Amino acid sequence: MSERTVAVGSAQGLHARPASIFTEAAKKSPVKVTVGRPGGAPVDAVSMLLVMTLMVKQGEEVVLRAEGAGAQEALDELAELLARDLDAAP
Amino acid sequence: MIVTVTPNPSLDRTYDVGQLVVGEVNRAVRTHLDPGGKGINVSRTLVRHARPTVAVLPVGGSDGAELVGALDALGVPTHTVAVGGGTRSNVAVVDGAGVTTKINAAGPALGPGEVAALVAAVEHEVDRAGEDVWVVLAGSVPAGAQGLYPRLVEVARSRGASVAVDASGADLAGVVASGGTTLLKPNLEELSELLGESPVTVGEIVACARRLLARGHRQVLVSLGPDGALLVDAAASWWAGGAPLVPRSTVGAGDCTLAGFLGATGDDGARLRTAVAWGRAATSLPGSAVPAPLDVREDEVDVVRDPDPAVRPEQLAARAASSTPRSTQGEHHV
Repeated sequence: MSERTVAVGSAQGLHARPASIFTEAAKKSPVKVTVGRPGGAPVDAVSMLLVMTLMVKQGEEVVLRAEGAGAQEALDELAELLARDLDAAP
Repeated sequence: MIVTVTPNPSLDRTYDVGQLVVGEVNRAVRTHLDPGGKGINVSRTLVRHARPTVAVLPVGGSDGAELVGALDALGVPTHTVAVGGGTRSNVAVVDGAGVTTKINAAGPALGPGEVAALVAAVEHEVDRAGEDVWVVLAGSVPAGAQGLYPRLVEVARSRGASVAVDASGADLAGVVASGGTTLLKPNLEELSELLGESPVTVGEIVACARRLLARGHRQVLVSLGPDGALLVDAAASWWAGGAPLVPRSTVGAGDCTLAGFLGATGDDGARLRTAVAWGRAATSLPGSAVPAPLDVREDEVDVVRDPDPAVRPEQLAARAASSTPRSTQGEHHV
C-alpha cells in the first residue's frame, strides 16, 4: 500500500471544479485510488460526489492511497494535481 | 409558472454543406440560426404546449440581440440581463449524409455584478409568478459564476418554489452536494460520471439515484436515451419507454423530456409518461426543433411502477415494443 499526504491547493478547496478535475485524473489511473482526511474514512477517488462530500478546504490535508503496479507514479501525479490551485484560470 | 434559467445561452448557427473538407473552403448550401441552451429549449417546448413559462438569460453583443429577437419570434417570454461579454455562438456543420460536426464556444465570463443581476432577475420572476412555481436551472455555468446554481436553489426554496436542475460535471456535483432540489435530471452518463460507477441494471441505476436523494433531493429523473427514463424517489421508482424509434436528431431531446415532466399533470407515473413521450417526439424532428402537441404520442409509452431491479432498461423497452401499438415512423409528422 502506497500513501501520499498532500495539502489541497485550490482556492475553493476540493469543491466542484477541482473535484471534477481530480476525479477525471483518478479515472485515468491504472490502480484504484482512495482519498480521505487523515484518520477519516477513505472514499473512492473516481466519485466526484464522494470526493466533494469530504468538504476539504484550501490548505487542509488529504491522504491518497493505492496499491499495485503503478501505484507510486499514480499517487505522485494525483498529489501534484491536488497541490495546485485548480480554481485558477485553465 | 415555469421559470427557466440559462446562464450560458447561445445563438446556434448551423451550416448545411454537401461535403465537409477540413483545411479547404467549404460552401454552405443553407444556414440556420436557432436559439440554443437547455433552459431556453425547455421554455420553447412549454410555449409550444401553451404552458406558462419565462426564460431568464444573460445577453450581450449583437449575437445576444439576435438571440432575443429569435426567441420573440417564437413567442417565448424572456427576462434578459444585459452583460458586457458577447453571447456565444455555437456552430454546427451538417454534411449531406447528416453527419454533424459541432464547435461549442466557452461563452463570456460573468462579473460579480452580472451574477447578482441574474439572481435578482430570478427572484423577480419567482415573486411575480405567485403560486405553484418551478425554477429550472439548466446547462453549463459560465466562468465567473461558479456556485450560481446552489445559490439559486436557495433563492427558489426560500420563496417556496420547486427547483429542477439539468446540468453535468462540476455544476451538477455542486448542486447535488448542497442539496435542496425537487428534481435532478441527469442522463445515465452524467449520473455515472458523478458517482464514478457504471450502473447497468434498473436496480443499480435506482441505487445510484438514491445516493443523490440522500444528499437532500426529492426526485431523480434519469434519462436513458432510446431506453426511456427512470423516475426515482425515496420510496418508489417508475420506468417509462416505448418501442425503439429511428431518431432524426437527438439534439434537445433531454430538454423536451424535462419540459414534459414539468408541463404534465397527474401522478408521478403519468408525468413520467408525458416526459418520455415529449422526449421521443423531439427525436423524431430535425435539428433542435421542439415538438408540438400533435407530434406527441403518449399511447406509445409504457409505464412500469417499481420495475424488476434485475432487468436492464433495454429489456423493458423491448417488452414495451411487443405490447404497445406502434405507428409507422414519420406518419405523424407530415
